Amino acid sequence: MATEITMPKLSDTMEEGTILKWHVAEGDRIARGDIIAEVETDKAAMEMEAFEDGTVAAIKVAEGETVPVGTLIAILDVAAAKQEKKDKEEKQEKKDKEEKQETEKEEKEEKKGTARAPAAAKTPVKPEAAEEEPQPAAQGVAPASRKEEAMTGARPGGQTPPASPAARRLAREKNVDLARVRGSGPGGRILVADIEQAEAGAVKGPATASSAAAPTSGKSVKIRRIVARKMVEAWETIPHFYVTVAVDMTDVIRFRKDLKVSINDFIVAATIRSLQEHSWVNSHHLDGEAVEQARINIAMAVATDRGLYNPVLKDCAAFSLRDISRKSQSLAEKAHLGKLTPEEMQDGTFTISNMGMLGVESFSAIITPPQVAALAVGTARGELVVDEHGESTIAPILRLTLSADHRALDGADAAEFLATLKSYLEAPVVLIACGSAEEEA
Amino acid sequence: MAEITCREALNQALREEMERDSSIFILGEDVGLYEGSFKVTKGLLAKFGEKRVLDTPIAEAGIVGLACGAAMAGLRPIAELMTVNFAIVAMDQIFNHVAVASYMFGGQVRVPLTIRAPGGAGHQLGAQHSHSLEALFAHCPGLRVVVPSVPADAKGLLKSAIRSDDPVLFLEHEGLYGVKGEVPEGEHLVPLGRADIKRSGRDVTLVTLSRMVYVCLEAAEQLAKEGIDAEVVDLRGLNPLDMTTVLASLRKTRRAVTVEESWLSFGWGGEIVARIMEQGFDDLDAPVLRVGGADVPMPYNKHLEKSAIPDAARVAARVMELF
Repeated sequence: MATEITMPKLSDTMEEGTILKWHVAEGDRIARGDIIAEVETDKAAMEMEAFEDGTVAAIKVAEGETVPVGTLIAILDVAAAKQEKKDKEEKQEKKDKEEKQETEKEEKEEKKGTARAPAAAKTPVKPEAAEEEPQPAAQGVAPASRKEEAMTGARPGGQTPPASPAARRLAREKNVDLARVRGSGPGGRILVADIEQAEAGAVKGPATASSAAAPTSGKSVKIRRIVARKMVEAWETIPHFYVTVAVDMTDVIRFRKDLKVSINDFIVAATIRSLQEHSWVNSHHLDGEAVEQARINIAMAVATDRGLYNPVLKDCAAFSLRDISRKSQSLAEKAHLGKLTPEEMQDGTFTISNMGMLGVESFSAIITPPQVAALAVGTARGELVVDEHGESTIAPILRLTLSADHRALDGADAAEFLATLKSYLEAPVVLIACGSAEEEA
Repeated sequence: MAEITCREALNQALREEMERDSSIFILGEDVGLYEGSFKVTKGLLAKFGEKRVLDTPIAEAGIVGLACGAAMAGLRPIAELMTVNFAIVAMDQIFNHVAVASYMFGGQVRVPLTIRAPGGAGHQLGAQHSHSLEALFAHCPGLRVVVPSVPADAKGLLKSAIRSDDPVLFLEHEGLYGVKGEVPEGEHLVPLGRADIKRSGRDVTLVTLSRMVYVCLEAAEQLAKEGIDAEVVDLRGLNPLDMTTVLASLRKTRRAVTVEESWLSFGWGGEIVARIMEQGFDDLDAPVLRVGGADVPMPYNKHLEKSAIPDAARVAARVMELF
């Protein structure tokens, strides 16, 4: 069995890579985790690891050659390695069994005439068989491992992916190797349908590490599907980069108590103001070009029992803090009830994803196309800070991470935007004053 | 076919059976003059007289004890207990006499007794009037346990229960008396111990009974929108238990969720799961999950009561965990 090794995507912006050096030659035996090559990307030279044990069957790209991500660079023969591993394991198992039988026999002899040894009763090899028909050790192993196979569907000693009982039975009947099947159930569990598909030849190529990549969510299948499609599109088409700032939330927390609005409302308000000042961040990247959007529509990521929704706070440039609080609360409620209309989820120009309430310190969000940036909000945690007088004090520090589309924004754009955002949040009185003035007007 | 309520269907069954067999008599609190707390015995006193429709004092142990003796002596009593919770007062009679008499006398006597009792939550009647105790009776061998969900089953099953020579606990849900459905007139029998598929589907089997049948049907509609086709199996009773239908459905769908209104812990859902593990393990594509009521005494407060019992959203959410 051969596995193809392709040019990996080693960074977000990587489109092609250069093989600087091969650490292996054709015919070499390699183990998973071995460094096989040095690859130069647009950013740096990196080492490339083997994902599987095997023998290098062919090297397809010479040193110094540059090829796009995904190009076949080498072929790995994994069958021999697998067989070898299997043989080794079987040998070990056989040895274990022999030892066990030996011990059993000794125990039996010891306790002959007394009650049956409980330890012997517990061993997988039938005590009667061992007692009445002493068999050559090699034969004694076979039925035991067959039994194990029947019980677990596992190849003896082999690491099997999770599979449902029905799938295991079908795999046994149809002689399908579970290790080669991609599971579509929760946690990557292999189901009957997966075996049927595999048997029909629909699964092509080895499904290495497939179980880990399979969907694990028990949430709405439909929502998951939409989110999956959107995220793949975003991840594959947008060259992301990330900038993080730490914000002192002392004043926001103080005001928030009096005003009965949430920390998130302050963040939304500050974001709206910052977007007005750095309108380039409020762009759409379409047809190879970024275009500033006239209106500010903030998409909020709301995690519900059914899945992830992005209701949009529309045309909110003039919203007061209270408007923001009221409207975002109503949208979030609708999201939880599953009552959002398609219109309410369209036309976002900038996304805010807040995981603060989940205790996440900081993270980075994936940009929703055609937007060019997304703000990831962590939780405010007490941290030791040194003030302007050199005195140390504890302040609630919040980490904001901007994911930016490098086609539209540069590092400096992101940094300036975050600096403005930070200044608003560290002096939130401006947000309150502006809001109430407009409310009065 | 006429569309009538569960209440009327039960009344029809009682009336027809009493007409057919003169050894049948009804006894219980308020079954005569008041025509039953839930009006199931309406018109029966007037038609059959007070020798066959007996108002009794508030004394459940006495009602069941008298009925047990009468049944052993050759009559066919139908005892009504005002709610299933009050059956607990008569538990010694039920577990120690009704259930075991036939066994203890080596089959020389039979106890053809039907005990009807309403139960279930949803009407703000508090913890002492609202429980679903079918699992409690199903635990005791010797008792038949029948739990209908639709009017046609209510009539057909009650007639079969009355004709059975074994003691039958016939448990009615208070929330279903007013539910209407088509019911065949006259002789309509539903055999005990046969589950019914109330909705056919191919992706997951919901095993349920009584009012939860309706909750499961609603959940199935919600799931259909997600592309999941749920089959709803109404057990219609717990003893005899129709595992044949459950296992056949499982072979088709490969996934199952049990849905019961009563307390989840040690409930009948667990029994179904255990039997599936023993008899249908190789048919599974996912672990069998359970949905049940909260392990609390049924709250009086309307909102708390509602949240203590499963609803369609909760059933649907649990099902989604399998995909």
